Amino acid sequence: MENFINGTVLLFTDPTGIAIFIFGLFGGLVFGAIPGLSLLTLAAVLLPFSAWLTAEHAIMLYGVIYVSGVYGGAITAILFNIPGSVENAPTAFDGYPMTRKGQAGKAIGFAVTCSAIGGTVSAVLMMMATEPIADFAIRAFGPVEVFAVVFFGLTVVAGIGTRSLAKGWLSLLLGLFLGVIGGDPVSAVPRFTMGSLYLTGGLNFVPLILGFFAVTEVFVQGQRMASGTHVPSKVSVAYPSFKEFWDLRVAVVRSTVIGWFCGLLPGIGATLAAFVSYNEAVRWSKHPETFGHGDPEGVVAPETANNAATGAAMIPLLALGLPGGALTAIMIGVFNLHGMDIGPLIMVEAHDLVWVLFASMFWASLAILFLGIVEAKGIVHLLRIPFPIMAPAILVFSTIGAYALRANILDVYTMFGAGVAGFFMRRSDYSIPAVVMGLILGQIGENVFSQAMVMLDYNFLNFFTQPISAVLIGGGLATVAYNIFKHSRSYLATFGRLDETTAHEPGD
Amino acid sequence: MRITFKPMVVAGIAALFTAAVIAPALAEIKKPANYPTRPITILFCFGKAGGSAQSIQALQGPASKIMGVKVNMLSKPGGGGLNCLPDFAQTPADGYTILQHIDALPAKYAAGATDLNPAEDLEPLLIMNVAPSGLYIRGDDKRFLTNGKPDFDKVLAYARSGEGKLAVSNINVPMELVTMSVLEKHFGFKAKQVLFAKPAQRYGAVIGGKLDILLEQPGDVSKHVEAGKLAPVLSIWPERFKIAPDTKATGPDYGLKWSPLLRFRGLFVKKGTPKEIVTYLQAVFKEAYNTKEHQAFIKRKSLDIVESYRSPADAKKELEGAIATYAKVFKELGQKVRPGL
Repeated sequence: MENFINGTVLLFTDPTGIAIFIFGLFGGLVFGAIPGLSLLTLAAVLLPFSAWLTAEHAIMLYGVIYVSGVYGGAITAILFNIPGSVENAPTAFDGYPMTRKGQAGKAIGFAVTCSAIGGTVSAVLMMMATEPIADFAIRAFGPVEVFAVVFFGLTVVAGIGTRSLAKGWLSLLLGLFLGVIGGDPVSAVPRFTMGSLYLTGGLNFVPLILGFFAVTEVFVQGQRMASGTHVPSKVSVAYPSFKEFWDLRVAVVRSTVIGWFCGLLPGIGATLAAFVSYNEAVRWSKHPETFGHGDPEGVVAPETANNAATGAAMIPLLALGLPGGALTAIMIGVFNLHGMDIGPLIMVEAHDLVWVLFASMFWASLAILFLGIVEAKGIVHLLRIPFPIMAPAILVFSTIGAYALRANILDVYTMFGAGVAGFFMRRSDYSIPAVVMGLILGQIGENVFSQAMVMLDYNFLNFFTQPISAVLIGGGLATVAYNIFKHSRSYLATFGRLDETTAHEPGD
Repeated sequence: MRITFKPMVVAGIAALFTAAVIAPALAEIKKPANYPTRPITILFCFGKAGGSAQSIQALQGPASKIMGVKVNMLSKPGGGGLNCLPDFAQTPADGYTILQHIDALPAKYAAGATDLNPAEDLEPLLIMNVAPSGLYIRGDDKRFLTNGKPDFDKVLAYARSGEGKLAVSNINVPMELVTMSVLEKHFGFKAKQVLFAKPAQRYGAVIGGKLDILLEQPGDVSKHVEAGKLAPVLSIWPERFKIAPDTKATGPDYGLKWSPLLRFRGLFVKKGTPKEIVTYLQAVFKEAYNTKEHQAFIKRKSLDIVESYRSPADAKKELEGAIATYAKVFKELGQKVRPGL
């Protein structure tokens, strides 16, 4: 506690420190919210300038940007179906349908409150036991266990956002297929590249996500306008009630735990947290069919988890020098700029500095709660902008976002290609969330699968010789079997009734 | 996820600010007309916590100060260092995208895994790291300790107790794979090699006890060694490293008469980049390499066991030599070699 108070005092007794804290908070929110200008962009832009700050201010700035930026991407995901970054993509699955139903204020309210809860709990756990938790995580989870987590997550994806299990599986397989285009992760063997240099480099997440979400949505709404069936999103500033939060308490706790553990895994971080948490929300829900159609739990789960992952990602970074994601890797650079090698000794060598970081992340998590409440009441009014003005703006922002990634026009074409494909897929009740889940989790899964198979002597059954992977793979297989059984039963019941009806038609 | 290019407006402000404050002090290097006017990106082909990233980070600041524009890093790991090449191939030869690559590139060219001949198709700016390798165990791995100190004989006994028993945390890069093959042949064991693209996962697998041993360069893991999380158990070198005199070495302690393959890292631009830009960048990075800040990094990371700097001309010779060396080694090991080599 004394360390935390000291960190807080160092943080807030200096006007410059307060100014940097506020700058980081708003900077993260703004850059996190705009596609193509992710929190990583801001972090990279500020890196050389951080050398001019004191070490405390520089580290604190990055801690605050991390927390607020991960939340910031939820706003555009909810309001316009444009996830600010990959870890906010699952938020759009239900956040945007809530907006269409006139519940934008509630969706933002859930997102902000749960981000704050996830981030704060995570920060507290980070402060309590960085070193032992890091040791536990790294000893318990290797490639075998991470693959099992991914497999377990993928098994529920097929049921999201579509009424047809077959179409759900086809969508998931399409996502997995898109993920394997390009050089394979171990030997760079080109797959499905058709001799194209662009495809050899692999399809990037960002243009695909912008295409499947933002561009598809513009096309869908445009078609509705053309056919006279367009209904503008209703503007509502209603904040969720305490009872509504209380009803989702289990989801919040579960997502905090999932986000926390995923955040601990080196090299994976918040993206896995958000996707796995969403999948588990679907798995444990009494009404899984409501996901993808505006279920508040679909907002709560990923937003709690991706923020819970922020504090957790600091643990392997600080205790072991192993970054959990891109932003934590940039933080290594910040420490280096100030003459410190981040890693196990940092807790001893820069004790005060580490506590400034802990305190800044804790206070930033609380601050986004208050900022978010104001946002929930104010920012939803953007929905009042008429669609003929908003649609081109969305397309322009998306185009800039896709192009800015690596200044390659082919990324823009990919985005529009995904937009057109998404438009037709939605018309035919295929699942966009399943495609995106397959794409993201598939790439993570393929990497760890290639490592796990070597460790397990290329024998898939050996996954069942390790307790964690045995439980997760077994659970995943059981989920698939249960889904097939459930859908078969409902299919047979439907056709059974039809047969019965046919059998008793008049005249029989 | 990756670091995205920042928008032009912010880039412009950053460039102007840096240029106004710092550049005048370092004006002796002649700048080409209208270059650089925007940030420069160094594309590297490995993960963000390993030696490649560290070496770029160490040059990033000094180079940025000299040029007056920001120098970004962009990581594209995977495929043993080859998955980044299509991205590099799609960039124009204008000096705004610099490729950082390692000995893997000439080696994979020699193996026929890529058609990019680094000695012909790239213009070297410098080689900034040259380093030998060693083997590391988990710091508290009692199986391989004697009186609390790492004992390679115990590792050997374990490795020889069964084929594939010893699990190595490695990367799909010929230097590491060939080195392991040579060690396996010399010591008489067969290890299981698990290949990672990201250094954090590669180190984590050994620190977490999922795998037994790590092949790496001393500087890249120095912080883990200092903290006791990893411990050096064998130096792959004709003599013991001065920085680790208690650690046995392949030459003096185990009679391995072999000239070890070295890890080198260099910066390159595309062939066809305007000559004045290439010359300018070569001068900039030489100056950045020699700054006090960067020299401290070289010392801290033990990158002075072998002289690390190679001029552009020497870097070209190094690449040509590496292609010939790896072609010879692959032939000796009975592996595939590019026709004509």
